Amino acid sequence: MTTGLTRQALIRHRWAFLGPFATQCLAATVVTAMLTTARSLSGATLSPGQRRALDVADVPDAAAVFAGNAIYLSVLMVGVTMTAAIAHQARDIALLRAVGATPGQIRRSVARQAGVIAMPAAVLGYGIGLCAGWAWLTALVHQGLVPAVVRYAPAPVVLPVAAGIAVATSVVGALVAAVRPARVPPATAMSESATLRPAGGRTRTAVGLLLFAGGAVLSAAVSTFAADQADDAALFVILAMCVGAGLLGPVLLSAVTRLARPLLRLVGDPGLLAADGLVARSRRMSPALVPLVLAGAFAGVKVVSHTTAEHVTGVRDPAADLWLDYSGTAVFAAFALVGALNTLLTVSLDRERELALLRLAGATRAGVLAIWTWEAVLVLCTVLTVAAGVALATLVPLTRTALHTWTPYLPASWLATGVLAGGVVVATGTVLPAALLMRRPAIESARTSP
Amino acid sequence: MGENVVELEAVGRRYESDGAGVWALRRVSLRVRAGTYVAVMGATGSGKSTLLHCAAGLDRPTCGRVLLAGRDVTRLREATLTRLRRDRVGFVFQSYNVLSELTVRQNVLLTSRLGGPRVRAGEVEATLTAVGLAGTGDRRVGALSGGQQQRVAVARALVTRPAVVFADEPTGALDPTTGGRVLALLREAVDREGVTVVMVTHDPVAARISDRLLMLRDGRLVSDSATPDVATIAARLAAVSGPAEGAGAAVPG
Repeated sequence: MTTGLTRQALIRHRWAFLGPFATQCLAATVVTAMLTTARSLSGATLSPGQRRALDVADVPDAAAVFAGNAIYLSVLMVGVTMTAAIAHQARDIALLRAVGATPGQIRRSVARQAGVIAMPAAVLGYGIGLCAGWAWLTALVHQGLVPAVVRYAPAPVVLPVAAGIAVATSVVGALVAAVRPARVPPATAMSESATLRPAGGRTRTAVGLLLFAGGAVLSAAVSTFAADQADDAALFVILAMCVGAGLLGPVLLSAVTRLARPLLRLVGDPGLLAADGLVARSRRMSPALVPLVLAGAFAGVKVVSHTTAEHVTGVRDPAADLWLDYSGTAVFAAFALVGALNTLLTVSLDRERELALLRLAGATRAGVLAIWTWEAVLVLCTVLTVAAGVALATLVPLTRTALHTWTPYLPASWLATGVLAGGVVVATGTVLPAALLMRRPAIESARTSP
Repeated sequence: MGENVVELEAVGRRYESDGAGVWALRRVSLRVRAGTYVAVMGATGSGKSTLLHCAAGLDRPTCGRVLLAGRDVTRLREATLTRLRRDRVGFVFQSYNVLSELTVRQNVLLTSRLGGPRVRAGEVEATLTAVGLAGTGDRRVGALSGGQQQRVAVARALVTRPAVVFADEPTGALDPTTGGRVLALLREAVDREGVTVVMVTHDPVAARISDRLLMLRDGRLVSDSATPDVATIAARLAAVSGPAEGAGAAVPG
């Protein structure tokens, strides 16, 4: 029984689905690239020696791990991006709930929305994936990890597989994202969509703290593990703490902002306006924290474990191994990037009216941009602090077990690159859209935006 | 006729925000007989929308009991409550009443398609004709004027033949002439079909169309009578909208 919410959502809020679409497209790209590469490897005629060398280099395993990562990351990121897409539909959902839609009907409609956009996303991702797969295999050959006789074989059979995976992961992610919006009483949904909800929520904060504490305990336990077990357990430390950071997001953003307030006072009004605005908006901003912290912490752990090992032992890992390890980190970071940018852009675009009102009230473009820049700085500071905390909590036990040192090592240039990358992402999601939105006359924005 | 469609017994609703609680509704008791048109008035923040939301099963009261079409909605599970709303209740809100990308007919059939009472094609056309929208069934709602959209909402609320229609400022976003037409449609439904209407409004002229007038102040029911003339309504509204005498923040015991 179709009620039209799916149709209404996909037409009325089409731009809101760019995030889930990009996520699904990326997942299909990675899955396609990895599966076609794996097929090319297994289908190639190799001597037993070459085959053994391939297995020792872990290339088929790495391809499987990357594809697996892409699947679970896409569930996570479809969840995050669909949350933003559902937020746009709050009014429609409240109306439907009032006139008789059950929470289950709302959840099914949201799942259908994600499923419908997954199909074109998968097809596009398959196309890009073929190019990416070819490029990856070529690079593997170039790095000497794969013998040159292996030819890239694009397999059409991968398309239905990639599409099936995209639809399935999207539906799961969307169902999870729809739980809360589908359950709120319609009267609350009507008023909530008009006002900002404050930070916190006791249960949310409590669960967040619990996950953080759990991560810390696990991390302490990891320092007593054997080296290979420790590596596996470390992933759970990162995940627990990142999800915890997401739940604590509003509290963390408010806390960092309050701490920074004395410094912002020195900057003057733009800094203080930015601080006030961010505290009020902390709940909406917090979904951007999970992917950014996840990417920062994960990349940090990967890079620092190599640099520390080199620093302590004086031995450099083989370039090919490093390259394979960093390709995996890149897949991870790409997903995080899509999720973070989506949340930041969604929040920014929703503030077109606020931008217009500030200007109608007498602020100059430069003045408004200054406020937004300080907000971006505060978000970046929060992300860097939390990501560094999570990375250290994960790393220290690892380096303790493997290298018998308590102090991880990272060259300053690498650290600066990381901070710069984070800054570029946050600025692209906040300051850039503000600058573009302000090219419209303020009165037009105030009239047309919701 | 004569049974109570809506009953509230000592209903209170408290909202929590930032640790501080506010009682939007305090021990309100009320019975609405079938086939009456009730208007609820009060100043902004007097609790009139909260009263409507609680009575309609859109929100759950903090204390007290609400009986809707004979069933205690305060004890119903969410899914059962939703089914009760879709089978027995119609809604008209001030705005955001329609799904803009769907056609007029799809909007009118919404409740039915969500699993509510079956509606025959002829009934849709008859209802659209009754609200003055004959022949517009295939048009996209987003392309209609505000007044037409509001009439689509009235058609959607009436087409399932509900026991009671709840209307929250149904004319708040309309000009007086267009608003008057929407009110007349609700009045006709009461007179011809025996529907019960509970309507929140801050417009004395809109309230005049009702049979019974309730006044709220600080979440309490302060006046309940047959609807007087417009001047008296306006005077009463002004009286309850003035500054509260005594402590207004007492918590009901």
